[in-house]
Amino acid sequence: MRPGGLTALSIFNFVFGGLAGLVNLISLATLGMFYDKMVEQSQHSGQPIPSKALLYTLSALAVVRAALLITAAIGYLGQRKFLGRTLGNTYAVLALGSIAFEISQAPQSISPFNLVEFVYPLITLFLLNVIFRKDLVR
Amino acid sequence: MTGFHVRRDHLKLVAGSYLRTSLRSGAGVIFLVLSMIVGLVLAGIAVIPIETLQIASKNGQSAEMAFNEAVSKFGPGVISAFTNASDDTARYWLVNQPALMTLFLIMMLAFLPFLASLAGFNQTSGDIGSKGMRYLLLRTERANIFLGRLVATYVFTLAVVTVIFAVVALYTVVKVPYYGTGETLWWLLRGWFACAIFLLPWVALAAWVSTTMEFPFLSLLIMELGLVLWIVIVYVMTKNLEQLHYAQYATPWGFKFWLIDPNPGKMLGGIAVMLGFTAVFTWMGLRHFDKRDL
Amino acid sequence: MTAIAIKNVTKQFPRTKACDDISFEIPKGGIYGLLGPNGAGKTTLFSICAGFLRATSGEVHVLGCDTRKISELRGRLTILPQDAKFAANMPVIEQIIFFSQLNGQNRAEAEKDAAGALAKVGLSDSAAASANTLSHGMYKRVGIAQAFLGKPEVILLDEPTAGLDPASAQAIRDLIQELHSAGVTLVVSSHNLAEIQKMCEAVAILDKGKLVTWSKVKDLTQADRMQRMTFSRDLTDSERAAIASVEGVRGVEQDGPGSYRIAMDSSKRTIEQLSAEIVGKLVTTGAVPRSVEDGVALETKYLEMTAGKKA
Repeated sequence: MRPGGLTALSIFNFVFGGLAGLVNLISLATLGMFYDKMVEQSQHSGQPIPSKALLYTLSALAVVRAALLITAAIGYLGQRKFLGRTLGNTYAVLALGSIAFEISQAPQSISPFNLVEFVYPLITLFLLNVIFRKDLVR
Repeated sequence: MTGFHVRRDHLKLVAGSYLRTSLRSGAGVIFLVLSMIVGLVLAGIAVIPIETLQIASKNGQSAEMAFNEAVSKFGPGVISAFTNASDDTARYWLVNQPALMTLFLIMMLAFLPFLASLAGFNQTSGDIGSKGMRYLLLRTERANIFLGRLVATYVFTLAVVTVIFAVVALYTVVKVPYYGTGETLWWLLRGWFACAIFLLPWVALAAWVSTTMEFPFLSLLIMELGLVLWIVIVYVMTKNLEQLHYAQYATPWGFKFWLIDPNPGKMLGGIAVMLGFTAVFTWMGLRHFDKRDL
Repeated sequence: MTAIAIKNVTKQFPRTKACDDISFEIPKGGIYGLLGPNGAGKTTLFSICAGFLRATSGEVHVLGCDTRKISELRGRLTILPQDAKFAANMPVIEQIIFFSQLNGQNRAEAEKDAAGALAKVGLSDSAAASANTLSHGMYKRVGIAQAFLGKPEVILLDEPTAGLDPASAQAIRDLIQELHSAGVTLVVSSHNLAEIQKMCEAVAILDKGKLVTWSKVKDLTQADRMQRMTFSRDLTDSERAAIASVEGVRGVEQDGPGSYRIAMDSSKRTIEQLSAEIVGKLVTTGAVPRSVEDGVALETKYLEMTAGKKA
């Protein structure tokens, strides 16, 4: 039977994946409409903003991460090796890579709440590869 | 611990097993994720108002000047709300050290007792109620079970705190270029050490309370409600009843900022007090656990 | 050589005294029984021996070691408790490996030992399962596996066969005999008096927290025998009186429809002689026994000593 921790992790995945997916899908859909206004505001405040292409890339990556989170959550519930452990690890590596990319390309866009986005993949890597390694084998 | 039979190999085995069991449980994972989120949100609370003020500052001002102005507007408010620090100490925290890190440390120190009780409320109480310790009792002394679980809880909580500090350090280095990296990391390291010491008595207190209850929920309720009540009492006493403000020193709560005090004597005194409280709470818990029926 | 020395053990709970100044010594190398009605203090005494409960006064030594320093025994004492729980989220094999490590084995030895213990109780296939997914019977067998882990010299078994299907219960009885042959001291608490009489050399009978007797089964039962006779109908008063009048019959008690427990004193006449005379007296009345079976003499003695309370 599935350990309680794996169930809890899948619930977090659904919540974080659902929220992140929703927010970034909206941001992908509306970026074109609001980008010019953002540029105008940044000129006024003197705070630089990333290019439109970069923002599209970051949002698209976030949507992919969210999809991976949700798919891996289904895998955790079924204790699946590929759907759970492999996709969960893929999400974590991609998330850490995305944060590193974001820091290198647009450090000013990082907010304190991105810290959670940084920590959650670390927790995922630890739990999947140390604590629940023998539970995701089906 | 004279009178209690303690074996190092058993302590290690019990701690390792307890850590693994806790992390495999739903409660363990929820604690891990939520405590990190709360810790990082606290860091965010320290940072966001300053970033907001910095962004809203007038044009023509350099970013660093705007940042310093924001810190000087926001910092003293936090210091006076959370501490009774003297002007000299407040100046040391806000001017001599990276002020943003000081604000984060102050909030972390206030948050740690709650984190410790969340991590430690179920060290023994659930297993006492369900008789889940009996197979262990056949093979090792009670002292090894109590201390092994206490050590595991402390290590787990400290690991969570360490990750929060590491992430905050990374964020500060990337996002706040006005402080020297060495200066920031040194102050954060000192803060981390203060947190590591301050966690000890609270984890030990949670362990003691946990031995007295058969229901984990009751243990959690007593720890958290007791903490809130004590903090309110201490706050009221220190702000309104001058003659009773020494009451705050009845628990480790009253000494928490000694650990980051500029005066080395006071800092060492703070460490000694924390170790003293830890020893008392641990001994009380151990004594109770050793005598009770399991 | 003494396996367990129980010295003046008293356990006072807030409302009851579960054990009242109990003292006796269990020698090494046999199978011994602990009997008593519900609430007599059997489980409390076992729990004090295993260190789960603290005695209000008195002490228990197992193999010469104070049970407060239980790790010095390094697995030489084990117990199958009645109501202990395993950790819910851990695979059972991991928990048994951990217990083995506490007994002083390294990881490799512990893994081997744990696998062997689970195989003994037929649970090799469920080794990776979490304890909370096992059926009642399987859960009990994991408890038995941990009790037989390593090389125990003294094993306390609190109701080892209760709740098990007949085949599993027999397997446990065989395992107990096997361990006995290997020189292990076993103390068994059970409500099954036939089982106890068959297995044990001596029994301690507790009642209301006091030790009523600590004697060899042979000594308790040599002058007392019991037969159960079943008839197609209930006996009339005169028929019962006829049985009671046979010399050597100590009592007749109905324990079911048409079923009677007849206590006999076999010191002067054999059981066969007594039975033949009883049947002879009843034949004239038309009450022919449908079955005659050896009863449990220990049961008679037990009921006498505990004032007729159910075991």
